[in-house]
Amino acid sequence: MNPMSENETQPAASRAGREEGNKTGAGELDILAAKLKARINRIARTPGVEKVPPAVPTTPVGIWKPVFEEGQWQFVRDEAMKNEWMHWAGTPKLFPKGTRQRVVLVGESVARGYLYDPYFTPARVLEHLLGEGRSGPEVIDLARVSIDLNDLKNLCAQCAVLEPDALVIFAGNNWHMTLYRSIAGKDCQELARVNQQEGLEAMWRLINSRLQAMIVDFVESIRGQYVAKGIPVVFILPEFNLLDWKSTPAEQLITHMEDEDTVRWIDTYQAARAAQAAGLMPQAAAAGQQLIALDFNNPLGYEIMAQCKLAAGETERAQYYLEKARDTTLVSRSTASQSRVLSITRATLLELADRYALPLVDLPVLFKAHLDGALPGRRLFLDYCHLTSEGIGIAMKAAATRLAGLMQLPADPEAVAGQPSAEVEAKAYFCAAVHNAHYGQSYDILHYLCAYALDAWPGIAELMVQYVDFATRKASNALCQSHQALVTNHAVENYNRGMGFLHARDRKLMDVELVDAILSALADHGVDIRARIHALRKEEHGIMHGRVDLLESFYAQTMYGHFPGQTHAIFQARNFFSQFTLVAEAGLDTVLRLIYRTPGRNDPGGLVTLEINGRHLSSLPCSEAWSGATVPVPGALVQEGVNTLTVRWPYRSKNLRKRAVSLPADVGELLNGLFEVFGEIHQLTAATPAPDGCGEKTAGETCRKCGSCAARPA
Amino acid sequence: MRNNIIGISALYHDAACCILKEGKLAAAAQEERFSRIKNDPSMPRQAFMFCLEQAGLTLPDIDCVAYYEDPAKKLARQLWSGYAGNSGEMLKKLDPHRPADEIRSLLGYEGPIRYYDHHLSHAASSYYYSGFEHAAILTVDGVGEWATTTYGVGEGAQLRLFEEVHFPDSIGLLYSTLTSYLGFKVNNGEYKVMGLAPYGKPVYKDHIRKLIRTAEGGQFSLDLKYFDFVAGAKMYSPELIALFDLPARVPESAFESIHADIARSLQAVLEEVLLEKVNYLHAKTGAENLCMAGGVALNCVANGRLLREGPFKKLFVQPAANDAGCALGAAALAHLELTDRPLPPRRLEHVYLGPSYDSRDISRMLSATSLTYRDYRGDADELIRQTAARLAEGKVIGWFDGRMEFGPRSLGARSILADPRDPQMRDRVNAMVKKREGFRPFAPAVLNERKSEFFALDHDSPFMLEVCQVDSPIALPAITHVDGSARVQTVTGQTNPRFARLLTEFDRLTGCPILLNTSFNVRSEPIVCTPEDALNCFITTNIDTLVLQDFLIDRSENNLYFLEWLINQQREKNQPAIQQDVYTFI
Repeated sequence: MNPMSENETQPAASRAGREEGNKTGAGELDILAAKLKARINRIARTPGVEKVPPAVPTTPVGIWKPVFEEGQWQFVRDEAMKNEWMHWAGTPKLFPKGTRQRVVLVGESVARGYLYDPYFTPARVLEHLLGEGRSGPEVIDLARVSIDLNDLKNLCAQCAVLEPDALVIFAGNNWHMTLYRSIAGKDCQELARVNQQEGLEAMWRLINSRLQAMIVDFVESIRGQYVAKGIPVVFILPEFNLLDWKSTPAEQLITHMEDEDTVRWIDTYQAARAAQAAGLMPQAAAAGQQLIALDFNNPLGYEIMAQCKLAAGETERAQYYLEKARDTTLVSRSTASQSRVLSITRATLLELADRYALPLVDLPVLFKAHLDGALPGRRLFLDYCHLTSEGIGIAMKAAATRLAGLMQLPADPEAVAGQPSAEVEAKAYFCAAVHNAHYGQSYDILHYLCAYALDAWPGIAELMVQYVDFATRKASNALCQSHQALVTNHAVENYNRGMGFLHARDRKLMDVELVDAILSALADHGVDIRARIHALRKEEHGIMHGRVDLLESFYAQTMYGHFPGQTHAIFQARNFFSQFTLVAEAGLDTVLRLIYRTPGRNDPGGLVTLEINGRHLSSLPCSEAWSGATVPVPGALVQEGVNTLTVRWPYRSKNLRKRAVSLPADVGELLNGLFEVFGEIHQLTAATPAPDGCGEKTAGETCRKCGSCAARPA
Repeated sequence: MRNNIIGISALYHDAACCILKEGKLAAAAQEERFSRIKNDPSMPRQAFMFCLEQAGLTLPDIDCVAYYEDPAKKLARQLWSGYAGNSGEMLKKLDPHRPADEIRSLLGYEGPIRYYDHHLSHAASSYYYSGFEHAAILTVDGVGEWATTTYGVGEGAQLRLFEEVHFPDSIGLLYSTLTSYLGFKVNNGEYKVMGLAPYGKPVYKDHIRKLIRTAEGGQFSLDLKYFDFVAGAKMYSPELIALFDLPARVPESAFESIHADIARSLQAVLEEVLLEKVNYLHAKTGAENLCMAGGVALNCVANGRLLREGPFKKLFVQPAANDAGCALGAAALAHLELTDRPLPPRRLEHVYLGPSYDSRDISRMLSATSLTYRDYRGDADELIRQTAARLAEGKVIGWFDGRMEFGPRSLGARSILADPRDPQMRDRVNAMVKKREGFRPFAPAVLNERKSEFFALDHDSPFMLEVCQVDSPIALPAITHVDGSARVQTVTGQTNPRFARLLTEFDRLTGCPILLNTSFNVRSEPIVCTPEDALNCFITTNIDTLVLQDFLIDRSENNLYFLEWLINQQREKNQPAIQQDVYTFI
């Protein structure tokens, strides 16, 4: 028989609770249990008192699983979850709580210090600010890249076993994505029904209300697990890079509207851009307002308004419009719509914090104060939501101040957040440039980030040289020698431990803007490899070496992500123009082969227009059915290296095919019904003209002589 | 008149696409090879685009899409089985308009679509590619619309199915049910059961006979109390467990002799039932030739016995006898309807119908890497000599050459090759790349003109679909199964000249014109398709040497550790295989 029977070791309070059974509520029992545990811990730490064996942990904490080692329970990284490791802190073990107080930090990539991690992280900065050198609390870093709200909720429940004295939750960017992942077929049907019967705004309200409910549920669970037990919880509400993060082409797709509204929207948009270019801001603003009135769901109207307001010095109004533009991702057009805290998320969390007196660090307010009222941009952000070292320092300083009050720590107003080394800063900015490029940002910001990195630490040039090499090749990055050199020997530990440079199968980009930005920044710093890389680009992608399929990802895509609807064998243009990259030698005569159709847009005057480098090439008739065209491109129009081929789709139509109203089976079908298709391409190739006698002259059949005709031999 | 036909099988098991260009089979491929999702059932977008590209055609050039089953009939069976519900996903899966909708919207095809019954497509996929002028036809699989087994006859252009066995009575589902009971994945593990069978004794034949009763003509029936697949929750009922007095084997757990005994008994009953039915079929048709298709026709052990002990003189099994091959059958049927004439009566000589890759592109890819490799462009003889020498030294070779095979077998275009004489070779290949169950045999490829010296085989077997006894003057332990059998591929210079040359050179070095030939993939991944797939497979396994068309890469000359790690990281971005515990009826 066990000499220490259960009854003998049970304190009176616990026995009373058990005996009373149903008379005691679950919440009260939890409080009693927590008090008991605290008492046991105190006894265990008292010299001369036999240590009570700790309870056996049964669940993991994130990637760390419980093991009994060295006479105690501890958590070690689970080998079975090795593929997860890169998303978490590199901490090999989580030990039982010792004599130091303990703060647990949970959250998303912004809490990981994405792009700096593992060199420099918010958790380490926070620990430093809390008095690391003065026996201040330890900070356990449980932030995970891309964690969604459900997993965050589970993690918060799991980490109670670590006995935190305070919990910091730095999250909110991924919560609307959690909602999308949870949408099942019947939800899609409900959303579609609301959209059809009450309109898109009603559908928005429904999505917002669901997101709100998820956030309330999360906060309530935190209150039950921590706040009710007297464990303070500090929320850090993220901010978005309002000033410098632009909506991407994939996020600007035109919402399905009535025929005339679609035409008016596109005409108005083009007028707005023309007015902006001419410096006619009042006209641009008027057009911007019209765009919003026509389609509140598109970011472009808001962005035009914000630009006008910024030009007029009206920062508050600009902020209003930029937040509206940011929020249009609520109805996502792209799998690459990046993390962001939406207005509904912020409003809900602020309201709950106010209602329950929850400590909250509101980064939008904090940053605004820090910037003297200016909008947050590249100074505080590396991309859409991930912070610069300065941004991390501000956020953690505020969190430390709140924690110090809650945990009754000695105040140290002079504490200063640590800084990353110049090398780490440079690596973070360089990886940020890559990340920005892959998610649709333009040359200006890419060049800024590259130049900043080189200014911070010239040694980054070596890594940049490797990058432009493998980015320019057709082989998958993982196979390229230059990529291998970049990520071996711990040269790049940040950006998902260097894995951020990998891409999905068949989705490699040519990275023209990024490579050119890097090359330019390098040249400015005395490393001029432009000739070599441009030659490599022609060797890998040039049409001089044979027919090129311009629908391949290298030439048809400039960013990751795709429309989240169904995957098609054909190219679908969901904007009124499509752009493709063509690599050639200057002056080289070229032949384009295009098979296209414009379903439902058969206005007699409608034309499909082809341009190269902004110069008109050809106008083709609208076609309900597939139609083929061979378009010669005179050498005089062809530039050395990169050329841009633009296909402009007709959008005026009195005969727009109405979409069949059917119940969508999934999110893809729901979104398919929400956004326009302006044209479709089955084949788009570029080649040098076929010599006399080649297959091009035989009804599109194969050229067996020159290899540059429309099709390969069967 | 123009006559270009696309055949499609999709939305059920193994999606595939083929193209008949002016009556000639120009291309065929399974979607899984491109999507890298094993058994990918989705509408074959990439296979479709490949077929057009390969044939030098575009969408407007296509006269007809032939779809391999009748969705309306299938819906009736699904509703009978109790599949219903108003969830979006279920409605989508049951929607009989879905194939047409997806062909229109996802593939962009605008022309006519013709539908052919599932088993008719199976039958046509065999008969019209057999080269026979007159043949009996037997199709056997899990289920199509309603039919699970059909009997028919082909004569000239005409193909007629005269008898069907209907769901839920199904030999395929019987086999799949026992496959599931023995701890393998349905629609994937059936051939493992076949490989396990020779290790057992047929002591449970009486038990298996309780599951299936044969009847008059072509009919048979299952005793449904042992099965649960109609409800769709799992394949077998508690009565099956009670019958064998044995819990179902837990996947990946150790095998006991009883598992092999059950597999052997199942295989024996399968063969007996099939023998009985082909005798019936022979009596009904009077034909000398037999054409078979359907998943059960991939049971090469049964095929060998049917030919040896059955009444037919010749047997043709369409190499992609599973649902993927239905694309070929549907296309052939459409060709007949559109032109009033059948495909030219030519036997399908090879299945090198997939994509090929230019050596210049491979060279460019390799030059981007840190790999040390040898370039044999313009010197194929030396490439063959070097490869054969390595094989003779006991090296395991990844062999990538020319157009990819259509169907589940690697036949010398995307193959792993090794010396069949080495007693350790089976374990070596398993350990270094295949990682599969140790009991499963590897197959031999032999020079066609030398086959009879080593195997009890007097006719061509180009598709590795027939099992015969090894009768060899030299020991061939790596390819000889426990019962002394082998699943032979005969190789000719006409259909795969480079592979034939390799066998010839290996013969010159060793006196053995035979190589172990297994599919070039790792467990749970589709067979490699592109040069990058092959390179990734080579790097992440322990294959000694990769022959990538005109290039040769030795593992011993390269440190691949870090590349392996990188490629495994990249694979995380791809989707997992589709594996099922229950036969998919929707």
